[in-house]
Amino acid sequence: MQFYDPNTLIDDVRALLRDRGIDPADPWDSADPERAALAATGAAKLLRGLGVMPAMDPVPGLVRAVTEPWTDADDRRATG
Amino acid sequence: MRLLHSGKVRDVYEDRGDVILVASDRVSVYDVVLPTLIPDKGKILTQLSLWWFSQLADVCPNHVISATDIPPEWAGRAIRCKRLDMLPVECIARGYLAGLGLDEYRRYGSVSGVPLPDALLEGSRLPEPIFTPTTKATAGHDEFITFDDVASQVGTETAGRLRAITLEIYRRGASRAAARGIILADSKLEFGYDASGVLVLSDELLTSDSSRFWPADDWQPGRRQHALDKQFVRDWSSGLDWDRTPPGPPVPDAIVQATRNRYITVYEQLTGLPWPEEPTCSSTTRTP
Repeated sequence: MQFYDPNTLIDDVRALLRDRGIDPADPWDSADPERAALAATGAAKLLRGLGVMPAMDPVPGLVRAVTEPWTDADDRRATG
Repeated sequence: MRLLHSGKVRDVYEDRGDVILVASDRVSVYDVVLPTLIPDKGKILTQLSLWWFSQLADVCPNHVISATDIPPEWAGRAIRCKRLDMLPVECIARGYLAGLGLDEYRRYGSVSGVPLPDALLEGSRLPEPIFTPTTKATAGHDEFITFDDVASQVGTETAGRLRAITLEIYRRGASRAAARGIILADSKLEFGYDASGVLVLSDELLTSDSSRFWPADDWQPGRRQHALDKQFVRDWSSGLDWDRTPPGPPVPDAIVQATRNRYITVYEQLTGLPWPEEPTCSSTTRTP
């Protein structure tokens, strides 16, 4: 099974578009929350269409998962 | 042994091709790591996670290789884990309305596309547990996505398994907790593929860094709920003249001890096991 990080693919595509004179938005830094979901889903679908499983590399994937407490349950949300 | 990353409360090392997760005694409030340690917090959460992994091993394989094949200085607070290719979604089960789920409900009347009844309040119990996945960005905020989005990303079969496993783990965890006077409001799970392509549960499991635990006898919908373990630190810090930016203030001994005792109580209540007390050092201040 082959894997590729869909977040990396998004960065790859943004760089490619910039090379071609396009100014793509940063989907993770947008006022429109739908963009992040669209980009993430689109990148994953493209990979699956190419026979590659969308998955984050083990080290950054795990680091991303374990080094921060779950932000949804952080103290600002817990105490106002 | 190579340090890969030091996070707010846990560190990640690489050793012999495996990953070692080390839980520290650090505690953060308002996203700021405080200069005072909570003695044994890392051990307590690690042991709780290991206990849940063991209890729920029939639901899904997990990434634990060993809790003993680790350097002796990390005994009790470290886990040797498999390297996994991590799925790009966070799998969240919610049985109660809180946090980002509450924000999403107030905006759309649904969470991750799951419609919810009208007039629910902060802390309300949901008619049934729901699966509310989010994106997993390398930077920026995670955003809610629907089950169909997950299916598009990882395939319908895998998405269905993720939902079923996440909800089953939540149901079993919530049932166990409820029998001991604890509400498991919600929980976040992480999954990956091992070298054989098997779907494996990763990260930590049903700890207070990945879940909300509330005392059942204090539950009251319509207001913010009290955290079962960290509330002493939260209450203390909220009364300070502190702008909630680094550096955080040192935590008084009484708050440290009360918080440590509460972490132990949660461990003992959930597992039904006594926490093995050892002499602890009274000096708890560190440079974060």
